[in-house]
Amino acid sequence: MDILEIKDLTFSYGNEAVLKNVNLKLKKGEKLVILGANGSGKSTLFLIMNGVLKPDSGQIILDNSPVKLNKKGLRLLREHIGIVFQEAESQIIASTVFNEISFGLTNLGLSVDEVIKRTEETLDKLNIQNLRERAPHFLSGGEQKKVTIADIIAMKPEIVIFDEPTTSLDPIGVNNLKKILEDLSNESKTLVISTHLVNFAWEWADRIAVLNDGFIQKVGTPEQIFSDDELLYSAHLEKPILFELEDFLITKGLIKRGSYSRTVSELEEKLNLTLK
Amino acid sequence: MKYLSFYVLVIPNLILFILILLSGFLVKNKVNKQKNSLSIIDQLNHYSKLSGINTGYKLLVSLLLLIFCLLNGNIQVSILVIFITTFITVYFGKIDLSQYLKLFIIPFSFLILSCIAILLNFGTHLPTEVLASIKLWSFYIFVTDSSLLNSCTVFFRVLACISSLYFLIVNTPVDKILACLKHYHFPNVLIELMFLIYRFIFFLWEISIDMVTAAKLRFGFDSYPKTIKSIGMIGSNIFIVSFKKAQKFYNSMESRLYNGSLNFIFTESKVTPVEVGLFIFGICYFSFLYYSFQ
Repeated sequence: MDILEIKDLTFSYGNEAVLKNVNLKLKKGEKLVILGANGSGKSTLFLIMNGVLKPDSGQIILDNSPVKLNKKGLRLLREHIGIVFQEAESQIIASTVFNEISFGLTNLGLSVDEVIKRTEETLDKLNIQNLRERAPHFLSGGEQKKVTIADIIAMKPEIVIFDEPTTSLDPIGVNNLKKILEDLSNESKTLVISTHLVNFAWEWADRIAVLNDGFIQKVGTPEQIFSDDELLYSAHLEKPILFELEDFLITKGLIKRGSYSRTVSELEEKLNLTLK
Repeated sequence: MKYLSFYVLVIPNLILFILILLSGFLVKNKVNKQKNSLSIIDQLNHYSKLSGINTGYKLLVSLLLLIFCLLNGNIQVSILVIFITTFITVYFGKIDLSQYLKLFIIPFSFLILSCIAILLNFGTHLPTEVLASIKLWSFYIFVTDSSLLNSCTVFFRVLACISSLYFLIVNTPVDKILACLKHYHFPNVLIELMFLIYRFIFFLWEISIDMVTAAKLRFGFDSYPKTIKSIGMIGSNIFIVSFKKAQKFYNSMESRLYNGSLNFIFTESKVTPVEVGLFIFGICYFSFLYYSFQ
């Protein structure tokens, strides 16, 4: 079932067209990666999906009904879709973590008790109870990311968008992020991540949409996307290392052709089978 | 109404721009110390042991102290106020004294300049009670008894006012103050502006420090002309950056259903009998001081 559909969306800053006729469907509970080089319009697309920017033309269809971009429609969009922004610094607003997380909740118009309850829940969920009275501006990058994610999760949107979440994270931070994403996915939330890291996309995505120069060039499973050499070349993308390696191993006859392995351990198992 | 705040976000960098121009020489050598002195407020007020005390109480105390300092014209009393607020903050709030004193650097530099302006008089004739004078061609620059007393009074009065406000700021996180103001029906727009400007001053300050460091590494501060040129370029850059940043900041607030009113949740502690007692004692003590030194 499509939870969100974007239809014939165009947007331009002045004369510079940023999005040219974007069409995209989100399925409920899926993990979608929007893959695109810098400046391909990912962030702009997200801001439009959240109603922060108004598109020049096009429609956003939420649960099969078109959203009008008036006050009521915007509220509806923002209740259903949450964005975790790329730079934590531009999202963080309050001076304690607790207040930061409750910011969106109070804006939702919830009662004080409910706000406190949900904030506590979120603190527990992301395991950041120890940070609750700290000033978010003085946390480390990874902790800040967690807080910004908590901001959004607390509001319980059905679709969570992460704009380049892996930038400014160290390997441990990325692993933590993956765990959080896993948990969210288990709660059958729809997750959208923009990135230009093909290896991350390969490991994580159910579907990949390639955004190039303002339009969606192709949408498909990771296998479909990364076996399309022409597409990768024109969108300035590379093949994931695992994918390339497996292709190589297949041509050498070390592994049988089957479904591709997404993680190193999967590939190891396959190799172990043949080596025995 | 809500767009108003967006544009006003750009105002702090005007203030900052002036600050930077004035501290052109300071910045040359003391980059890291300067960074500490401003952004440390935001850290201090979370660690202060007094941050748990009822915000309304602290707000009232500091406001009354402020009014008292403005009314009072006696230098000894001003010094007493400075001493008391510093003592409370450092001893009971457990704030590091050197960090607390660093906060005075910026207001201090402005204060010195204005006191010099009060101290010096210009004229073609010397009055009778002159203390010192310099003759420049046909006119004199001179200091008199009354101008010396005046500038000293102003100096300590301003310091006392600043220290009574610092008593509030250093011991209370800013959003607690704002939540308290909101509780007492302070206009929403002003609260919003205060909050955003407060956030942005810190942000712009840090950005400017980074830019200064980056310029230093490329020899932008080698000579005085180069320093001025670099500072000019950094200033104009800060305009652009702050505008872009304001946009991003606003986007993220909008996407979390921001509608023009900031709502933060706090559990306020009750005012204890000891605090009430201290308050009444303080009022008696300061009114006694006020009347006996008139």
